Amino acid sequence: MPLNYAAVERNANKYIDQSLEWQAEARRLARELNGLYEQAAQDSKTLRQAIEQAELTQAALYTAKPSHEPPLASFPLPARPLNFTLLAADGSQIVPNRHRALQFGLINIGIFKVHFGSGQPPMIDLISELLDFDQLFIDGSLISEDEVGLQRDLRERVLIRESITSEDPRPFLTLTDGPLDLFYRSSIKGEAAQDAQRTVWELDQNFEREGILSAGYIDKPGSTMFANMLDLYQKHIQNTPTNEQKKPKLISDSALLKDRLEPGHRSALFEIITKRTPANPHRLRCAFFFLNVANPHGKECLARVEVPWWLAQKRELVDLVHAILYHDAQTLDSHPYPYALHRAHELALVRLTETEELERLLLSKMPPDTPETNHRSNKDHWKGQK
Amino acid sequence: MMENKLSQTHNSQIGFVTGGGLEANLQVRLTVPPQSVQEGAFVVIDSNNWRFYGLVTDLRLTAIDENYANQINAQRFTPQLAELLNQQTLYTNLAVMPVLMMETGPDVDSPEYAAWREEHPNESAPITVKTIPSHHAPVKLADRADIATIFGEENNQNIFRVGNTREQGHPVCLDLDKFVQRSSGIFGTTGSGKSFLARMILAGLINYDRASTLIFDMHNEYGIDTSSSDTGQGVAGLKNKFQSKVQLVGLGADTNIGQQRPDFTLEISHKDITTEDVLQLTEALNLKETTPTTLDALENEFGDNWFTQFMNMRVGAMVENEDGKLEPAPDSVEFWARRAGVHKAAAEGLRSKLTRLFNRPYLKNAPASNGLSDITNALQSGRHVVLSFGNYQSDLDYLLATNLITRKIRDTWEKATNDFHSKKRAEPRPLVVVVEEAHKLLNREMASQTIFSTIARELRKYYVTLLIIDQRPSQIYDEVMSQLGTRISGALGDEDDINAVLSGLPGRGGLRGMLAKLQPKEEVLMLGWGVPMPIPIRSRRYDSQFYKDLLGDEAEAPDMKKSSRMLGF
Amino acid sequence: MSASPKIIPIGKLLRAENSRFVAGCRVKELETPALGSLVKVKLEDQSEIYGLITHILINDDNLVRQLVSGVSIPSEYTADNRYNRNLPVEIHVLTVGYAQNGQIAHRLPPRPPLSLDQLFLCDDADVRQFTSQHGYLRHILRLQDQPIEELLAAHFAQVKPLQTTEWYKTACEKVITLLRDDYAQLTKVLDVLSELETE
Repeated sequence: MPLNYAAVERNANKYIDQSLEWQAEARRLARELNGLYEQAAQDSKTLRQAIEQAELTQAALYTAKPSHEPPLASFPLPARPLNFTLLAADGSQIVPNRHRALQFGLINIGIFKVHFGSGQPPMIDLISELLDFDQLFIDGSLISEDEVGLQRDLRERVLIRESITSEDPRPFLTLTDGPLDLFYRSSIKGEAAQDAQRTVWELDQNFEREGILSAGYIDKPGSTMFANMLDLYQKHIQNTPTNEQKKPKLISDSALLKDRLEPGHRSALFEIITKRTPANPHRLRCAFFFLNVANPHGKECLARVEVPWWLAQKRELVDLVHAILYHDAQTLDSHPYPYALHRAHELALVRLTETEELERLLLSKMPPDTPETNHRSNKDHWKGQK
Repeated sequence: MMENKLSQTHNSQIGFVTGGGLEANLQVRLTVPPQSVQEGAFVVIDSNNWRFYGLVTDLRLTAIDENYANQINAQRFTPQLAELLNQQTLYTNLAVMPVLMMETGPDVDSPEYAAWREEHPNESAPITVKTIPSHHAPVKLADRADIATIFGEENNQNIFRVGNTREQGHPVCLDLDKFVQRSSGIFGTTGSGKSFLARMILAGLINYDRASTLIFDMHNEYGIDTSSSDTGQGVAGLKNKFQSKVQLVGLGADTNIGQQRPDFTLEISHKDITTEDVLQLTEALNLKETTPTTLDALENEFGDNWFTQFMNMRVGAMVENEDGKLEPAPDSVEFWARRAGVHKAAAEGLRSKLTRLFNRPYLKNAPASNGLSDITNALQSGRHVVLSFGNYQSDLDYLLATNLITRKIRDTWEKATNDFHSKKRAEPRPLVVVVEEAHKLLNREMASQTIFSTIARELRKYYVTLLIIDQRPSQIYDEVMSQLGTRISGALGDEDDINAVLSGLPGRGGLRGMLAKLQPKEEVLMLGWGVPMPIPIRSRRYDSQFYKDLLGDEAEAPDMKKSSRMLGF
Repeated sequence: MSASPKIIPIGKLLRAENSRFVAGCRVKELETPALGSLVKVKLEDQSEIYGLITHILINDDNLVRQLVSGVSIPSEYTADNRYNRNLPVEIHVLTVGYAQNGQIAHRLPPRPPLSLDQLFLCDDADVRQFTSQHGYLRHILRLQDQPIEELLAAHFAQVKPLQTTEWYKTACEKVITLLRDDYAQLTKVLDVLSELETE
């Protein structure tokens, strides 16, 4: 039904006022934190100590930790090699839905691999896997979006590994959307999660041995690791107990970095410190930097790039990631985003029609008149869904 | 009559009917190139168990859209495309004049045929067209069988071949039985081959031999062998070919016909000359209006002796009387004029004018033989007479002799006919009187008076008809022209002449163009009552092959001398 | 048939009537079907609707537009778009006949396609069979919003190599018969066909 616009409009003005107020407040906070940031940047040794201490004393932690690079440093765009391989992977899924006539799950992963310098069209691949029926239930209930997502991420990483051949020119960079570590899905617990994490860890080991670079790309980052970091710093120098419940004022990292990075420049590397109970033996150790992917005359556009810790130690490897990612994002310079990732996403995307088509296909294979499968939920029926 | 196998004409279709009608001619869409059909082509159209017979009177180029005609498609498009385009957008339309139709029934091989035959047990014959074919009826060129159905199959007797169709050379025949039933005409400008045509037809008539012919051979063209003025080659004469069947007669005792002696000569007795005969010569002799009165008086007084008597009168003869005064002699004109109550000057004038006539050597008071009855006897007994004028070539001689002879003949035949009707005698043998330069005898001024116009108008009441041969048909009295049955015409240039040939024939406008375009010496148009339908043809050649075909191989030219010995009969 | 038929996967049916339909598809640039191609659609009752492609619209694709206006595109990505990406394409199809139980008819189908799974590009044997009679050509004359001559030429260029010269002649005859009352249109068609022949 259409909205009761009259009622909404009455509230709209109040909404605008609140919104503006909040933005003003955020700007004030940002100015405050910026000052702190600069201060902390001067005093990076103390900053590190603050974090290290928190690591020891706190059970749960989510913060950035400065690396060997000065926190406020910015690094210009390096040269890109002539020949290299870029592999982007993205996935999507169909989550089982009890309103449908059939419950089924699907993982769809797109692989996009380019040999730069060859002039050849990229190799594309689409892997679609129907989940086994017994994978659809955990403890008697249908699995959730997150759980399917976890399966998907895992498959993505495995398939990436399988897509790398010895003929692909080196250096080889794999690119995924989102953080490298799987643990951002905080709702995943239990054995499945453990297994998944270990697999990922093992893959990373493998990559390190073989010198395969990998990066995770986060567009419009909403992380607040710097705020946490500075909060710890402040508490450290003020000697406030770190377990005080005072919530840090949360400003996003991008807000703090505003106007600090030229187009094409990256920020310093930071380690990602995530700690939770229970501890995870196969936690992937990662670093990140911010990258201004805007074109030289464009409005600032910050992306956050995660790389494995071992990669972060080697300047030349970081430069490779930096250069490759910036150029790939510039391909779509009006709204910078790595072309390869976009294509992987495009490949993997499952549309509603395709979902319906799959359902039709599965239904057609069932013997007719199978009782549980012959209708959609009435609720959905009335929504107009087939 | 032909069997209905005719329903399949062997020729292929040349078009189909798209419109038109009885009055305005049928419109036919041609499906073959226009050059394969000519004006005057004889076509057949089959529609619903009827076969229609017609003549093509016009060809016209059309296009479904002017634009297609105005651009040369072959220059704009590839040859194949242009060809396909032209086939569908550029057409030729024919105008076809329907003339006859015949019920042919369904196809002989079809199952409906038997039933139809039962309903129509009699052989069908062509009749005048009364209805029209349907749309899209197929049109074909007539084949040999079609022509034979209409014009008859040549038999060297009454069905006489006069020529062949122009497109395909099929034989076209004249039914001589019908030909002699009415007066007919052969026309054409000088040099159009009229004489050859006439010779050919006369030969046919003589061969046919169911009617006698009396030919007034004014220029000595028909009787004796001559040579062609164009080619210089010899042209056989009728006497040569038909021997004793043909009698050559010369006007006047001493007449020779070329190098040849005639079979007999003709001298005319004074007693045979009537006052009407003289009146015919009014223009030739420049007689005055008073002439009829004077002639009347003469006839009243002298009866059939008037001519001799008048001849013996002298103009201005005077004698001395008892008183010594001069007075008109008893043998003078004046003397008689007074007695008869006729104006003296009129009588004297007439007598002077008639001197020319009186001087004619072939007019005798008491001729040696009765030439006229010789002629009629010959004709009645089945021979043919060619009268040559010898040295007497003036219009006066021609008019006098032909009129007089013909009148005599006509009287003879009238009597014979009356006797036949009262059952005293057998049916008279039909006679055709062949006159050339007919416009001299049958023009408007003379028409009411001459025996010729009477004969022409009377049809065959008394078994005598005319065959007119003339180059100026427009000069002939149109009432006479309209009575002619068969007309055979070569090329005519004059519009009036063309109209004259067509006079009395309804709705023949389409033929006008045909008459103007006939090939001289090659083509003629046959039309009229005696011909089932008008048709242009390539006329038959009058040559030795003609006589071989007509008479058989033994009819070769016999010795000239031998024929000259055949005098009398 | 040896190879499996070439299929243009269809995203959705945009609009359909008895006489024409429009399908939205994603096709690789190189595999975009040609104007004038004969295609067919299978209906649920197994009957098939045949059509001629009259119009191909490449819809605005953000990515393509971006690449076209962007700074400098690596040759690999140009190649990517040419060989790999499915472009959103609108294919306009003119219905020219249908087949039921193997019987081909050149009349409009009793029912338009109501849903589309796949659009088949007819293979040589199919084209030869469908075009063996020329009746379907009259549907081309229904086109209002497009140059008939271009479509005819494109179609003939594709069918001619598969048929005899006699076929082509009869097809030209048929076209002339159908269009001969429209001089302007027919001459345009013949101009284009002449051009085609002399190439």
